[in-house]
Amino acid sequence: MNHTMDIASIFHLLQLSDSAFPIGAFAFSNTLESASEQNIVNDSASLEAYTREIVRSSAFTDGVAALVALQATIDNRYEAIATADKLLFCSKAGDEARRMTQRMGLKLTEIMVPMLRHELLDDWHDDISHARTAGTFAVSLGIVAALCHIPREALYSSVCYGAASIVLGAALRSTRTTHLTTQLILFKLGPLIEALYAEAAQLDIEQMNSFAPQYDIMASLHEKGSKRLFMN
Amino acid sequence: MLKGWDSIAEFPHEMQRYIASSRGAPAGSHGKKGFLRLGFERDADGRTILRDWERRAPLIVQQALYFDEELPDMACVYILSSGGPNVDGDRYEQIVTLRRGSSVHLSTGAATKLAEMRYNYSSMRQTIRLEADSYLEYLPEPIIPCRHARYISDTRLIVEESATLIYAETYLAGRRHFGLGERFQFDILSLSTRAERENGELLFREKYIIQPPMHSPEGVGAMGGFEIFANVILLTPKAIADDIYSSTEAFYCPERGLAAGITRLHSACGLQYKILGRDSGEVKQLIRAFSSAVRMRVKGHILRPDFAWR
Repeated sequence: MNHTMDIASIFHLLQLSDSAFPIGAFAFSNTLESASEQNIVNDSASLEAYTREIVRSSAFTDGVAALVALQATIDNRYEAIATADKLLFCSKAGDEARRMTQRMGLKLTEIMVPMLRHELLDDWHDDISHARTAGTFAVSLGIVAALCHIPREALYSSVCYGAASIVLGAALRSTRTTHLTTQLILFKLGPLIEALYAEAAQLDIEQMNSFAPQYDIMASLHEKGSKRLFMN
Repeated sequence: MLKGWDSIAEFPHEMQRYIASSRGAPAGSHGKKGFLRLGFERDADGRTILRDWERRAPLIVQQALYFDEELPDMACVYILSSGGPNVDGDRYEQIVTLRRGSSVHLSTGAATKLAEMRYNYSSMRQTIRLEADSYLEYLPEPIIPCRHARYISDTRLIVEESATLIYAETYLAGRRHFGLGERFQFDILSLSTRAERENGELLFREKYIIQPPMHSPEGVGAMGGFEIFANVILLTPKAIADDIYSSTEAFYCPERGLAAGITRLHSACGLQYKILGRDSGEVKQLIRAFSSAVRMRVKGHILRPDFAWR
């Protein structure tokens, strides 16, 4: 890491990344529910591969947007935050993916407004509430991270951790796996996220990218299907 | 939005490693800078005509044809390339404009091969503009990236609310019958698409970067064992999009070698239909079936099966 974190910032990062943080992440499966039903994810190896692909996809979309939002917040460039939010939201394929990022983004903002009492976050909340901006989760998290003095690398890890933990949390409820397996998969992600950050940190918001058509088809199956334990 | 690609400062990040000078003709030099501008409009008889055009080899368009029995007033145009495959350093640009009320079926004469590249890359920039009540089916043949091919495309779709655009792209994993068969041996495909209204309002954007030497696209979540990827973007009024969404099946059938999913785009501006397959003929049939449903809903006519020789 290029930046050292003070203890308060580390503490805030842990709080924001905790699966118990009440933003509703537990209600989503990041398409794992469909992938399990279609037998694409049916053992530890396929669960690990699927998780890594989803993390990769988030790393170059949500991850890039969060980093851009963090820097724009530090620089007090509100327009750049709004642009990142618009571009990220317009990149999300499917109603469920957009609903997921908006709900989590709104909950995060609502929770943090009274804690941080910062004008920029108040404006952000106001703009989300009046539908002037989408309020994606990644961009909202970037703003909050900047206000909590969380460094870029730590924010990026949190975004990737969140994407993985949604899948792995859902796996415990919808596939045959164990806590030990999911924790091992999570633990092994460290070097991957480090490599992804090295690349993502160089991208501007227009360069967000992903390529996950099988994931997108799973999202569509879920969206059009009638069986659901998760919201997506 | 990518602007130029002709000066180093404008090269997208992912292409920076592929900007060496070719030992042959320089990138973007005469004969390597194909340009096509096609302007369609509806004449007094209700027929769509190719009113104005500009072309520079290797991109060629000969004339509008009227072979579609279902829509005899629709202009049907094939884009050809006199240079064969896209090669190292090719820079192509296409600008297609459909004026109010015009109807066009646009395709390519054959599959587009992206040849093996050693120094540089090939590119395609497209601007497709649809004015009010116009209708475009853009259903080109597949793109086949050979080993070490490097290709970047940047497509800008500007569509009025009352217009309908079906924009399809199909990518194969490589030359299936070359040697032992190529499968994701290209260096990079970077594919950007952005849709907006005439006033600049962004409707959706996406960017795919597929870089097999850096990360295999074959795994679960990405290609998931399939070899062909097709991406169909439908921009159309909401009521039409809702009907097509309801009637289009999402399915996952690895035993048939086919899977498809449909999602709504942001702002209720249309749909996105993604297909994974193993057989290009079956993928094409699925694209045409989807396009036929759209045509039926918009024009009241089906899209007939393609010619037997295509």
